[in-house]
Amino acid sequence: MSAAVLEINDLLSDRGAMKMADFAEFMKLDPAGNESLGSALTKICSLGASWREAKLEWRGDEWSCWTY
Amino acid sequence: MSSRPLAAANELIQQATAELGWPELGPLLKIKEQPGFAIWHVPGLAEKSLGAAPSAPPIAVLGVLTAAFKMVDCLLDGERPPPWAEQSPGHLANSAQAATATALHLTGRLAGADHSGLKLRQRCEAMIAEFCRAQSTSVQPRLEETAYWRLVDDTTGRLFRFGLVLGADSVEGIESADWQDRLAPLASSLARLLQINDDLTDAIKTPEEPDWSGRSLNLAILYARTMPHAGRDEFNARMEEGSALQVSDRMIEMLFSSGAISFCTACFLAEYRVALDRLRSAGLPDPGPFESTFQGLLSPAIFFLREAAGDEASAILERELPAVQFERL
Repeated sequence: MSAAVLEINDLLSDRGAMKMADFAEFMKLDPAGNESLGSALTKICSLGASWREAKLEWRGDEWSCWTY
Repeated sequence: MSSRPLAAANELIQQATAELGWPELGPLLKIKEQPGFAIWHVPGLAEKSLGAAPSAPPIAVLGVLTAAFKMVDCLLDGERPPPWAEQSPGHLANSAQAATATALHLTGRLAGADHSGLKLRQRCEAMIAEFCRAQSTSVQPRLEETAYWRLVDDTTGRLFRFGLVLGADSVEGIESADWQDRLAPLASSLARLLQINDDLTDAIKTPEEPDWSGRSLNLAILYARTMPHAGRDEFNARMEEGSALQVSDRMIEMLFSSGAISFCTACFLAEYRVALDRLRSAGLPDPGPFESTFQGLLSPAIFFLREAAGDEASAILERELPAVQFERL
């Protein structure tokens, strides 16, 4: 996994749980543990029924979560 | 929840232990009120969402089963029993057996539609056996994510599913079997949210010895032990030499820096969204009781998010999750 953009759905297993190894792999993009990850994750709460299609993105210095 | 059905449930428990010839057991199994979510609330969630008031008999069954499982859990994990159950290991095992008998006795007396007491008792027996089989695998847990989720689904998830069945069965004038099927997926969501909530609390807020000694699986600690991060070797060395038993600030700091707390938070939010999807699919007359319970269980993760996420995220949280109590970790 090398892309800096990942769909939330790709982090979910068939049973709906977040996949640990995929999450850890994606977090390697941000070795400093940027606090904006918390802000990006929070947006999962406010997205509508299409939350699984939301994108989690590492922008080089901060995390972002967005959907079309 | 009103304390009236709880008081009536405690009377039923006392009566059942007397009928079984051991009335002195009654006070040990008495259900205590506590702030926030309790497992004996589960049948009432089903009843309230189907338009009925919580009733005492299902509360009594869930309360006694929870006490029995907790006593055995303490023995399996080598954990100090809670104050209400402080006894020698032998006496604790003996009380747990009697508690299980009491729960079956109470279940067999439930009078739902079409003589369901017997059916419910058979379901209860099967649930207890499945729970115990799963619990026996937790003694030397494999450090694997799949083992973690399987254990949650096969223990707490099964107990909650049975609790929702009891609740739906006690509502008059509905097709209970249909609602039981619709409610079943919510049991898994409830169990997962509760478990992640407990794990964050046991890892950080009030560090629990079984979690930090590796005798029971904790999602945050499992992540820090197995996923790649700069401090993993140090984290594992400290766990193995036992210095984690005095959980240091350094160990807590590594839970954050490893991404373990972020992962638990992401799991929490994903499970919350899955739970809302399932709630919509269930088509309950009143989804409100489940919604507020799901939100209440988000509290530890939300505290982390508020600390880390800044003003914009705080505004989202307050708008989207009004029932969450922002409890400090």
